[in-house]
Parts: sequence; C-alpha cells; structure tokens
Amino acid sequence: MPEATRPGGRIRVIVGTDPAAGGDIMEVVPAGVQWRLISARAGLATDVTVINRVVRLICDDGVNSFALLESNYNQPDSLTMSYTFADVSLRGVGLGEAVISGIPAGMILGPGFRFFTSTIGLQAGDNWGAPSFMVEEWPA
Amino acid sequence: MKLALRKCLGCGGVYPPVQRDGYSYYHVCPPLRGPKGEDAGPRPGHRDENLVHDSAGKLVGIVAEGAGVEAVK
Repeated sequence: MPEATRPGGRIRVIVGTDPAAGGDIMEVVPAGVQWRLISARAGLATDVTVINRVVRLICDDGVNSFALLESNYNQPDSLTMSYTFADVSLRGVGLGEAVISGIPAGMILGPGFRFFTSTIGLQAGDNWGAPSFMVEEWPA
Repeated sequence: MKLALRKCLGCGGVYPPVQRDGYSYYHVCPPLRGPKGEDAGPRPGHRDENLVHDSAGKLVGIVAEGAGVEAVK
C-alpha cells in the first residue's frame, strides 16, 4: 500500500518562504516525503495601484499543473487580506479581512511537486507575507 | 519561540531553515514568471536546498547554492 494512503502520517505546520515584494508564494515538496495539503494561509498587502488582484492557488508536479483554485475575490488597492485555502465548500467568501477558498481534501503532493500563488494583477509593491500551511507527511 | 530566519540572495525570500517542530525547511526559489504568469525558467542565482546524496547514500550537498543566503537579524 502506498505510504500516502495509510493513516497516521505526521501532521505538520510549516512556515514557508516570505517572498520579496512583487513576488508570489511558491512551496516545493522536499525530496523524500509526500504531503497531503490540508490547509494553507497567507496575507496579501496591496499597494496604492488602483487595480483588482485575484489570487489563485496552483498545484503542479514541477511542470504540469493539475489544479487551479481561484479565490473568486477581487482585492483592491491599499488593503491587507488573509487568504485561507482549506477543505471547505465555500469559495471566495470575504469575511471581513479574510477570504476562504476550497482545496480538495485528498491533495497528495509527491517530492518535487509545487503549490504556488499566481496572483492576477499583482503589482511590484504588493507584498505577500510568509505562508503557513498544514500538511500530513509520509516518507516517499 | 522566535524562529531564526535566513534570506535567499537569489529571490529575496525570507524563511526559517529550522521549523518549530525541529525539522528542516528546504527553500527553493520560484522561477521567473512570464507576462501571463507562466514559468519563464530559473531566475539568476536560483537556489534549491533539497539534499543530494551519492549512490552510497552519503550526503554530498544541496541541489544548487545559487546566490547564497544571509542571516536575518
């Protein structure tokens, strides 16, 4: 039985890389492990440029994407919003300063697989904070 | 407990090389992005901290040092 289908993987909360201003978030599954992505959260502060930003979370195997999850929320200028992707049926719901979007519950990611934001309208002065994400981890 | 941070001189990202649970974090620089958000190849100074082992299983280093790192104070 593949490791990732067994119960009892290690639950971890990982703080990822805080990208430079104007950059999107990207996380890569390290060599030797598999992850089930349970949730991911990060904040986006937009600069004064008057344009809407739309956050998308993309999963790929390093080359080919197999999930594009759009927040369906237009974030305007000069605003900080917290984005959470988790196994919820809500989609792009702005609750005050939070946007919640769904990811599939069984999102198994192998070594070298990536998940990253691709923010439509991202400006050079926009700033993503460090992501934190919860995974279930097994040896690959 | 405040995590020690490291800055990648390739992409400018800041990250904790050791997580709260004691496990290592292996930073990889994001690729350059084209006008439509597509991958446009590795950035100059691309860093990949995934570990490389030889055929005997001995650790020989990381995939790519890239532009290096500096401690964040």
